[in-house]
Amino acid sequence: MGMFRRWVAVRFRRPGIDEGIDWEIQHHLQERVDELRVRGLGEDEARREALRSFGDEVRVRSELRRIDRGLRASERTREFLGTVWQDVRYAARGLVGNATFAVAVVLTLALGIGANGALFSVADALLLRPLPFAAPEELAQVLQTTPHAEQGMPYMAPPLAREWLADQTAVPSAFLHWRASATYTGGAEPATLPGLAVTEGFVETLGARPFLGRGFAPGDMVPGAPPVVVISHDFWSRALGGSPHALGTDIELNGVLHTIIGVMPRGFKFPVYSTTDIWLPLYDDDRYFGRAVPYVEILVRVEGGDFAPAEAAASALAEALIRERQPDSEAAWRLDPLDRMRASSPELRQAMKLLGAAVALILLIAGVNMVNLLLLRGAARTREMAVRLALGASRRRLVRQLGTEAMLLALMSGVMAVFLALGALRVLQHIMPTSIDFWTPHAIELEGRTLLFTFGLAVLSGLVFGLLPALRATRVAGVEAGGGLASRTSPHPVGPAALRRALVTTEVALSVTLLVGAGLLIGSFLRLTQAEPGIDLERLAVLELSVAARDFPDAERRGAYLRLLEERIRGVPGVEATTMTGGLPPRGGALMFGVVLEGEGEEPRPLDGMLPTTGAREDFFAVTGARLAAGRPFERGEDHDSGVVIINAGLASYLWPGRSAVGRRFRTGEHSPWLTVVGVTEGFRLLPPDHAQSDFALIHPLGADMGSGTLAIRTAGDPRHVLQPVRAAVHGVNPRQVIGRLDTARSFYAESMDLQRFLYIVVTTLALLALALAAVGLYGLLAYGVARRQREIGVRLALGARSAHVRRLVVGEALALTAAGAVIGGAGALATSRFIEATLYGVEPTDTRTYLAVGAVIFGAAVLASLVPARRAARVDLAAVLRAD
Amino acid sequence: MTIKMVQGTLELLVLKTLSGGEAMHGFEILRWLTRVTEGELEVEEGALYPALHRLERRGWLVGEWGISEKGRRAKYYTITVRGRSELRVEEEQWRRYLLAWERIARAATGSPSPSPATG
Repeated sequence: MGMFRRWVAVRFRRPGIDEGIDWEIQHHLQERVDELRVRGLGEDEARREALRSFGDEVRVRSELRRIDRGLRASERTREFLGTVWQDVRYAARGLVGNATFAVAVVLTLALGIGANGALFSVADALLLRPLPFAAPEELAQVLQTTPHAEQGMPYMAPPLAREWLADQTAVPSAFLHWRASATYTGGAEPATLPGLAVTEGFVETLGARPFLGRGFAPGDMVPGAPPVVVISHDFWSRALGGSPHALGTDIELNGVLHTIIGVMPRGFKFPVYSTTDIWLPLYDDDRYFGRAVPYVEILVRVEGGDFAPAEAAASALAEALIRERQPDSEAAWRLDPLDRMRASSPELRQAMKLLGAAVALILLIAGVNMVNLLLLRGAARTREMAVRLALGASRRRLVRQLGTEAMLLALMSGVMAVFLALGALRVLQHIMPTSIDFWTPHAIELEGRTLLFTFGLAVLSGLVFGLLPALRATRVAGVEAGGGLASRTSPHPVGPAALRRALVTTEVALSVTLLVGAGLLIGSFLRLTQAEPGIDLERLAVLELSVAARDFPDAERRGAYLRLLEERIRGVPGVEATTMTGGLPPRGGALMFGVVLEGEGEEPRPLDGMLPTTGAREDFFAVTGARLAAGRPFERGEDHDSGVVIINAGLASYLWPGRSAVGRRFRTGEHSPWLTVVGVTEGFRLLPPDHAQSDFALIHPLGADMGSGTLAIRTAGDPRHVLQPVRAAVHGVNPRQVIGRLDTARSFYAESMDLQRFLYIVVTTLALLALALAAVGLYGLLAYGVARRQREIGVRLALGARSAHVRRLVVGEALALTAAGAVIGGAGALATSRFIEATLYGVEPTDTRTYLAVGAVIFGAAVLASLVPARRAARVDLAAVLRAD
Repeated sequence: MTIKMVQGTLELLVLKTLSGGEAMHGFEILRWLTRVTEGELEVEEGALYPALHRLERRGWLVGEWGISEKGRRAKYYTITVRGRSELRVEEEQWRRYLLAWERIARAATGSPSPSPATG
């Protein structure tokens, strides 16, 4: 065809959709008219003919419009994706070219995001994620209420529960369960496995599927059926090595071989707030290893989670059944959603809030750091931006490009944060308080929701912390493009350096707040460990023993067995003496409410909670090192029925303030026997010191036939050396004897502080991280400032300023910023002190010493951060600076 | 008498028309088709433009606004690389279709020269 172009592509305004269609059709008609005119038609005739031969113009137009709309839309998408890709490539190139910058930003932000991710996965498992059952909102616990106890109790008489379960139509599925442990004798040494006896609806009602094998069938529940057991995933991997051949094998529980029929999935927990290793059949005759089950609990599934009608129906039947047995009973039933328990453990909730605040602060500091670094980079690139603006790039486009860079950094941080969170979780799991294990219905691990959270946070950080620097950099560049481009001496384009100084001040302030929190927690923990329980922790070992009633049915033989055990333990080299107790700190025994004092009316003195109690023999004080302030120890032959007690000084001064307690009497209820105080101990406590009732303790004389108890073992030297020999001695008497716990008294007691320890370790780590970030931010600001003012500093030095003076200038700036940050951060800590108050023991949230110490730390860090820039400033060589220009 | 277009072939014809690499506006394409078929093929004018726009949307043609040699504003279409490869595929199918048709027609009538449907 043509050798040359017969038309010219003209860059005119691109027509809109309708306009373009109009132009195209008009052009066609004109050409047609021309053609017809050539053939000799008149103007009007030609027009008519052209229109006729074109056909239905309206229809064509509307069809074209439809097509073009699609065309425009896909064009826009393609264009957008094209520029995004372009931006990403551009940003990636830029970051590769400035790797130090990229690594600095990614690392700090990843630390911030990772800390949040790790904590989120704990909080999610603990508080947020739905219970790990099918439709968990449909599950409820049945509680029996009376007009006196509206809260209700879950414990039901087994025959009543059975009858109700057989007759009820209120709920589609339900099962009965009873908490029961069993002694497992297949391991290295005998152990008590926490267990649950359940009826056959167990697996179906919960909507849980065994990981291996099956749940219980009706045939398993018939008394005399071959014993079967379903085991937890944890027990399976711990004790059976996770072998797939475990199914069908037998394990010995309470001396009876049980066939394993199922393994529950990893992380499966029922009861939810517990640790359970084995599920056993609750036989139709309500007997457990030959003994009658005293009570059962009922779990129901309510279809659709609509509790009100189901509750009414369930309660109506239950009330009828209860009246049959007890005509004057006012008891009723109610359904309590299973998830309600999440509200429990206020300490843990408080701890999670505290940690949440701490990691949020860390992210904020990391974000501020990122803003600072991006601003710096923006300043370094002002010239580039200005050139591009001058060449016609729109500011929006540049903002987007810088935004892409920030987003790329944020996403890389997100990826890295996932790995950091994984590592953090590993570490956390080692120092986590055991109560978290108890209260989490899920296994704590990095799963989908945490990943989503982490990446969401990364994207959000990219948006929030990336936008401001992008806007700033392009605005400054705009000013530059307007005139300053040629000038090498124009004022530096970072604009008001005040912004960057404000950011560094913010970092300092945030880390001061965090440091104060950490300092308070450390102080609190120290007080906690110093508050000793009033026994000799250095030379005591603790042995928790439980002797199964089925092994020693009568008290006499049980007593003889325990005496034998104690005798053997006393024979272990290094053991000086032993005494059986009802419980040693931090575990109080039975607890009672309210006391009535003799001669002061019948009105019980409220105790605002429970009274921690334990039992002791006559040699308790001699062996444990507890001190008697007044009165006498128990005497041989005194037991529970003797009506004598020893109380601690805290309880004594609460009951009889300012008077001697010895010889006075009180009782715990109208019909209870009178108790005479024969002794008062000093400094003795049973509960951990941060517990509300920790100041009170009551000791009663221990009978000789204790079924289970805690043996205090006094040693000549370090109690650690006797632990192994004592264990051997116990198993020498009875290889099947379960040892609940054998440890030194100190580490036994320290367990009560594991939440506090966990908190202070995590918060202190975060605070040190914050300190490091703030110091790096400060260093960056100073180093940049020195580099920027080289010429000025050089001139000053050349004019005779002493280098010490220049150094002071730099350090002075650091200290000024730090002072501002410290004041703001300190005020922030004061303002939020209420928040941490509930977690502290023995330390006021306004503790002056903590604030002073934090001040010293932050100023120390500031001086350190300013040393290198100050030295550099003092060595500026004016000649070199001028040559470089 | 002119031949009515077989359904769906207009797009193929347009691609073929533009396969020389020359940019053409709608009326030129129409004129070229009429000329090479010596008026035998009746192209519905109202159908041509939707066909062009559809091809543009699929990315087989690009449309560009320009000024024609008569000084008029016109939209010029050029075939794209993707349009060319699409054309090759379509042409091949047509060739095979016609071959098959010929065989069928020969087998049915014994006539050596069948003609497509007439109208």
